[in-house]
Amino acid sequence: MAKIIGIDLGTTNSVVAVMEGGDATIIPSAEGSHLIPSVVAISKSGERLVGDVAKRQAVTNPENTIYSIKRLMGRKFEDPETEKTKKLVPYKIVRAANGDAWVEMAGKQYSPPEISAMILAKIKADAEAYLGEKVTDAVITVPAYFNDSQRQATKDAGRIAGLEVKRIVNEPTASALAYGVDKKASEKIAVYDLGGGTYDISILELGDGVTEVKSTNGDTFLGGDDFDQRIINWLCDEFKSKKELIYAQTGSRFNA
Amino acid sequence: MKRLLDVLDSFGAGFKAVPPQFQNQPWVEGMRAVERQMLQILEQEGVTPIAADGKEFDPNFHEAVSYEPAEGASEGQILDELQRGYMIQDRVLRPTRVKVAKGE
Repeated sequence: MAKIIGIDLGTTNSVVAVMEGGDATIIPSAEGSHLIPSVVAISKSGERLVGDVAKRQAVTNPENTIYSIKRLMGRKFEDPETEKTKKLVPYKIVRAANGDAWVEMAGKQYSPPEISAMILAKIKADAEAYLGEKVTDAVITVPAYFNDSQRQATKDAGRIAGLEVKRIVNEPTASALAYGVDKKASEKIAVYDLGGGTYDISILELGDGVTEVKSTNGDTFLGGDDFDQRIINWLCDEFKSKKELIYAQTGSRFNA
Repeated sequence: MKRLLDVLDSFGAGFKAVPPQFQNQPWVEGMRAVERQMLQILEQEGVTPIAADGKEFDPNFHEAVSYEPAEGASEGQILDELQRGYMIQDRVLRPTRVKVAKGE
């Protein structure tokens, strides 16, 4: 039987795994990393870049480097979330003919599922290289709070990437399954998910092999990257206040 | 293997901090020999440094940390190497972190 890959298509990073001997094994990317940055870019020479390579050139090419595309999945251009995302990203978000929020890269417009599909296509290719066989089927996780159009957009992304999406699984449910709670008797658990760009907490009820998300909440604009940014800002401020001292000690100039 | 690179970084940072008058002290030379020894061992394992100075920025091997205009430099030229990267065989173990020139 062909293997089915499991994909955590994240806002900041994505991860792909496969079941090997009853356990989930993370598939390393072609770059040898367990995390694949959810970043897509068109380089100045017109080349399409995905993952680590796209992320490494982001500062030199911000307007043609798309990240956090998950925030725009299944969103209308007029949605307040789109408005919020627009303020955070350096690339252009445009209104498609059907009112959806699309993005622009190197003068061409793309739907969020198309961008996500580029990430999924890389994941598929890396998984095929690792497994040494064709991969056609996948399970993709989405936040429990994703609505129908966001779930559909995720399925569309899989289809564009040449993957048959066998199941869309709620992220907290996937966590609970990976933890092995399905083996125990019925109980209520809380799953806390601290991501790069978002965090959420969900209450799950488990029993008889069925997992039900009772409730979920969080902040889709607060995650580990924001913690990093706060620390960077603090370091910069500290450094700036000591700049004169550093200048005196090293004789070199620091352009803060 | 990747974590060993932190040791190389520390060697680099250490040599940068050696005051000019001590540059040729035998014990400084000795530490340089230790660094070379480690580089040689890594090379035998297929780990080689990624060249960056004066080259064109290539995200396949380099990670841009900053992008700024610089006199006499053309778009995409690498201005400075901030942290050396390494290959392991034909794969990037860690990219070289660089400062990239912004064209006019």
